[in-house]
Amino acid sequence: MDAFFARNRLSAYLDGVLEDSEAAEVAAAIEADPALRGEYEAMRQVIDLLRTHGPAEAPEGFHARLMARVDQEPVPGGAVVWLRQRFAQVPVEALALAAAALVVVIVIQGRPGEDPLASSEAPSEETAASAPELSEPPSSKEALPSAKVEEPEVLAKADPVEEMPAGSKKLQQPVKPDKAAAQKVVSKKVASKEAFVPEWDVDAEDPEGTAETIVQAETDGSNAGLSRPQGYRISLSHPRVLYDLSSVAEQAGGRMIDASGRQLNPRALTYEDNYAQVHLAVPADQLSVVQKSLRKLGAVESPPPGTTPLYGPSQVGFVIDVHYMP
Amino acid sequence: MLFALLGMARGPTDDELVRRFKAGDRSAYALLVSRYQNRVFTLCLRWIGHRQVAEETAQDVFLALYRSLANFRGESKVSTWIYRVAVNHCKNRRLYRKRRAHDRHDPLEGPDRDDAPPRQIAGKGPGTDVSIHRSEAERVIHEALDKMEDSFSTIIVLRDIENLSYDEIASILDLPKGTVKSRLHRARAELAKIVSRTIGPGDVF
Repeated sequence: MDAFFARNRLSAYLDGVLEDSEAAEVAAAIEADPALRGEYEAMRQVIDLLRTHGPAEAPEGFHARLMARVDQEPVPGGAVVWLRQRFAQVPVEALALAAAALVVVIVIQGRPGEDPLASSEAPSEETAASAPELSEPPSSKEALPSAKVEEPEVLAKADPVEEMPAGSKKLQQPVKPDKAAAQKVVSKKVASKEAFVPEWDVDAEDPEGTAETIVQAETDGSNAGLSRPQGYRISLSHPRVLYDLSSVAEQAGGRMIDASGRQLNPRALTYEDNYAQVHLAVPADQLSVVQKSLRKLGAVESPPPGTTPLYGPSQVGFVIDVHYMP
Repeated sequence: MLFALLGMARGPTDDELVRRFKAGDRSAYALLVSRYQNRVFTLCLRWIGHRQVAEETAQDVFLALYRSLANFRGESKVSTWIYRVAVNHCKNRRLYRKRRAHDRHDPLEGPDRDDAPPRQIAGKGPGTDVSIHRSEAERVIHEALDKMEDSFSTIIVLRDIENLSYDEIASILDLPKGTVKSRLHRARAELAKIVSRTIGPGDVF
């Protein structure tokens, strides 16, 4: 092996990675060539220098300082990784079953008149285009039409109900209007003015039978032993307050009902000079949560009502006097 | 049985630590840091040259690892992955510091504040800045590596200071093993020349 080939193998020779025969040839070349020997020695010394003085220790407190910074970090990977890790342990069949169940729930809850907040929080393109925003209240009480049964979007259009054809004096729902149900409410009001008809209830057919259930609870005394109702008073400057009240009830696993025990459909709520009362019937263990939410909405405590409201078993009720505030 | 006992004596493997971390055990990450902090700091120090900047860079490396450890798929060795992250961080920091020094005509180890007194540059005689280089040998190493191009200094640090194998270096730098071998040879030859010019041939620390 000549000096050129040996020179190109000095590094590998120093690392001991050459084949034995090749290493022997390089060793012989180094022995025979003083210049090559000088290069070999220089390279060996610099490697020794690096190996001896190169390694360093992390400064004192390095680990502690780093862990302090790590403590400020959010959970690594975030929710996506967390979910991926959890779902990775779930069989595919179970995921498919859960997805199917979710679809069923969405379909059921998406029926007309059963989606309390979706239309107010995130209106569909169709409703956004056709219905004015609820966040645009009339400038004054005088701007309100005289008809009690009115929808916010109708008010915003400033179309007096009186100017409507008789057949069109019905409620218009922002999403999936149920004109047949609304017509029944109007007809019911006209037929019997003495009977209490919830002014902002278009879900007259009560497809889930909730009204019947609650009324029955009153008549057969099955609501005995319930917590004493909590009294609250809230000023209504906009129907949105009632949406919010309904949302509070739903988030607590309960519902908003009227004095007759009928569940109120928040999408059908409208302005009124003087709402009598709404009731929130929620699970008893949600008492403090609802109290806190009501306070956030500006509701103030008032003396408990004299009459016993209607709630289901293991529920606690909030009787809320609602007053229109021009 | 003997292997199991040896394994217990060594502690959990890197892969086990990563698995534990993914399962929510943050102490596994702390152990991983303890295991690699000196090696990562050394890499940063020898490549960047400034202790404080090297520590900052090393901390950034471990923070980056913390943020991405949950996504580590185990397609390479944990150590390879750590070194790869560290090399990239150091390369960026080194480039940034060189550009900054060039733009501002500041010495690499110079102060960040314009009104601060000039920092003492390490020299062979009295007054050597021990906060930068704790020994004359370290100063020589830093100055020599700093004069080399990045591809050479990287491979020198990984092989001769971190003592990694050719295969590990090839994996970290994503190079063929033959390229690692030939590049290392050229880097060592150049480094030997630089050091000889600095301290004189035959001088040994």
